[in-house]
Amino acid sequence: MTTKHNNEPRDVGYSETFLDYYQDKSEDSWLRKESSSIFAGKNQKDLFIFAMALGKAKNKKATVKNKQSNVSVSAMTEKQKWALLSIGISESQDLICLKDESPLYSIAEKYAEEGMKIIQSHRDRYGINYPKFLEAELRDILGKGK
Amino acid sequence: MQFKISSIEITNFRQYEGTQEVNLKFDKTKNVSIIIGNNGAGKSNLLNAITWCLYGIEIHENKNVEDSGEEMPIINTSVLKATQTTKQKTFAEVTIHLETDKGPWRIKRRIEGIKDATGRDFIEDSSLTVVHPSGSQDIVDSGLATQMLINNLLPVALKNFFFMDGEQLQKLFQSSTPQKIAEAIDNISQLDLVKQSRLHLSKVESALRNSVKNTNPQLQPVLGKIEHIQQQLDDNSKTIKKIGDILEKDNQELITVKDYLKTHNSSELSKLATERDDILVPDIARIKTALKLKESQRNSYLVEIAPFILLKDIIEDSYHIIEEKVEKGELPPNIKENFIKELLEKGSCICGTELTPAGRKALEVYKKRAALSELSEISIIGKTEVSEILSDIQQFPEKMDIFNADLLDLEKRLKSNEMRVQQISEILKDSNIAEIIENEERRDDLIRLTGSNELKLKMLNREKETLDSELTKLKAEEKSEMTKDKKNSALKTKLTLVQNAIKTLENTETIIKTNIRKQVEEWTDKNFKKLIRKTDTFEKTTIDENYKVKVHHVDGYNAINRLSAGESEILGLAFMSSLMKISGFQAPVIIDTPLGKIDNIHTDLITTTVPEFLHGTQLILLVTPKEFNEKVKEELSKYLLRENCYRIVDENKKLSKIVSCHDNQTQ
Repeated sequence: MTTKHNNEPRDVGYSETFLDYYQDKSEDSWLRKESSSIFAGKNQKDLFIFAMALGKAKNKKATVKNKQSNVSVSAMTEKQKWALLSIGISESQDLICLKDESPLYSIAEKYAEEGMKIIQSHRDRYGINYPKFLEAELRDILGKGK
Repeated sequence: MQFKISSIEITNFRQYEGTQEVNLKFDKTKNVSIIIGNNGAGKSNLLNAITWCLYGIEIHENKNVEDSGEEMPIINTSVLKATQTTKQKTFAEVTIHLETDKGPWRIKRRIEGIKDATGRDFIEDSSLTVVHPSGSQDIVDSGLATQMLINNLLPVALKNFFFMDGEQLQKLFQSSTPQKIAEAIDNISQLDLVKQSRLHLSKVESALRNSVKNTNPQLQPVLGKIEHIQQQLDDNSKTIKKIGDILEKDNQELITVKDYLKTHNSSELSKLATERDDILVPDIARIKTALKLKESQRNSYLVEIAPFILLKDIIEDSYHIIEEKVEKGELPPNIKENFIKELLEKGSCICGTELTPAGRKALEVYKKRAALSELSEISIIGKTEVSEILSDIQQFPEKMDIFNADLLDLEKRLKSNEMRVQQISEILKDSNIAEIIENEERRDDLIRLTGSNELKLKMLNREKETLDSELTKLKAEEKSEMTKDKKNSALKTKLTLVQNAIKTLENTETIIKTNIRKQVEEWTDKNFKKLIRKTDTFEKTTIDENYKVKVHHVDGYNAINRLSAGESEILGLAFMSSLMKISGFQAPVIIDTPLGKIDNIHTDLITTTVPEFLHGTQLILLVTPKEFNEKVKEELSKYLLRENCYRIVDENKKLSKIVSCHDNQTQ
């Protein structure tokens, strides 16, 4: 289902520091099909939303330096957009924020920035076992919610 | 004549560099000597050194082949190589000291050689020297006739029954060796005098016939025919002997090849290779691809679902906020916010009526609701999307369980296939398929060759029978013709006398050989029953007129090819012992690897019954450390003199030393 969002930005971005991870042509890219990363074969928007969720889960934000606006918002699925917008709704406890979505995307960039650092540390720590760790973490979250 | 080995000196022979000495004491009860050595250490070459010294023949010639496939020279390779620098001949020498009932003997065989600058070996013929007592003096003999002295001690044809390899002993009576049995019986029958007389009389017969021919020209066609048939019979006998020898050799090889193929099966191995290369390896590649794909699908799913789960509380919160707004009716139909804003700014209605304070207040509330009303559509869509996200989250455990089960299944299949590949590779690693195929082809060739030669032999024997009967007729005709001619009557009498003598000798030879065969049969049967202790399994052992040894099972069949390795070895020892008994040749018995393939029961029999059975006979056992285990050691201790235990120390496979077990232990 698609709808017209209010003042939805065309792109979102990340710090130049993470450019290599986001660019699928880079050797260090996490998105290249040949990469051993969990993101192999995925798109920039998927990595961005993943990082954003991690940052938000830890409730940590970081400033985007030398912003690389390469993540197309229009490429995001509605579900991904609504996950992002939910942060704004929850934080403001109101729907008014949906009148201008642009600031919500800016906040998301900051969470994603922190999330990238968390992914880096997880990759260093768990290596090829990262999917197993992530699965356990997610099951844990769902378990706690019950 | 009886003899025992009192010492063996080996110099530069095969892997024995320098001089190695083994001194053996003899005791009637403690008749066992032990020489321990790992496989390849030099046990077989010690046995070779003994047979080479005595007969110039090595029992294990085929084992002395280098990695390159070339036969190694008898002279130690390092010693021979050194001659390239010294440019002086070197030698290998084996000296055996014997104790005989007529005094001590010293037998020495020496071979000299040199390696030239290009690396070619020049090895001379070996020379034999025998020092033996005669009266009160020692006589030194050398030269070609010297070998006869050794043959008088133990004929060369009997050496294989005294100096033997355990495995060869186990195969001794397999169906194809009657010729060897016949030769052994022939040797102990000591028919040399009879045979020589027969040969001499045949020459006399021929000479007499020639005289007859000159006095009576009418007899000539008959005599010519006789001569022609005798020539044919001679040729026939030579061909029979030649084919018989080839057949014997091929049959021996066939046993070895078949034995090898019992444990090496190319069809089984190629089945395994096919299973590995054509089924398992491609399957492993497919599973790995499937595993990679499945992992990638799982990762993709995790990347997509993780943000929703991580934000689950927030998303649920948003859902409740939207829902609450809906429930409270705070998301009315779309009202233009600008219109209300305009009204508030103007302070009057579109109809011109001024706004009352109450009306203004109501409009202010309405203004906020109007802002929300603009978000009505997006919020409702958002509620649906968020609701779907929450539903996706709920499906996570189930979806992950499916992924995990699929991955586990693939991993299990992969592991199982990889293990099977490893297992097959282990089996194939130790198997040389090319060698097996070569042996299978050789077996087929040998079966064809032996079949064809057996047929040829049958035809030749039939031809011989025809020629014999023709000869008998011609000889009768010859007699009749000679009777007509008085001049030949004296010659006829002589010829008849010679012919009768030949016939008598032939009969004598047959009778003696039959008697000896029967004696060997009787003693082999007795010895076997005594040694095997299985009186209720085997009825009797026989040697038929074709020299085929048969072991009659109580159930009526010939069990010769069904005997276990231990039973076959015991039968071999029983036969050897009967030869010793009948012939009077009292030689040491040397067995290389006697317990190699023998089960525990027969090991016990060989280590306890045999030494006692061979009481008074020197028994030298060349054993591996595995064979000479604690149990065997304990069992043999009763028959083993402490000084008669030696150990072959192989510093590397090309250099061996012989040390006393006692010296070795104290070192």
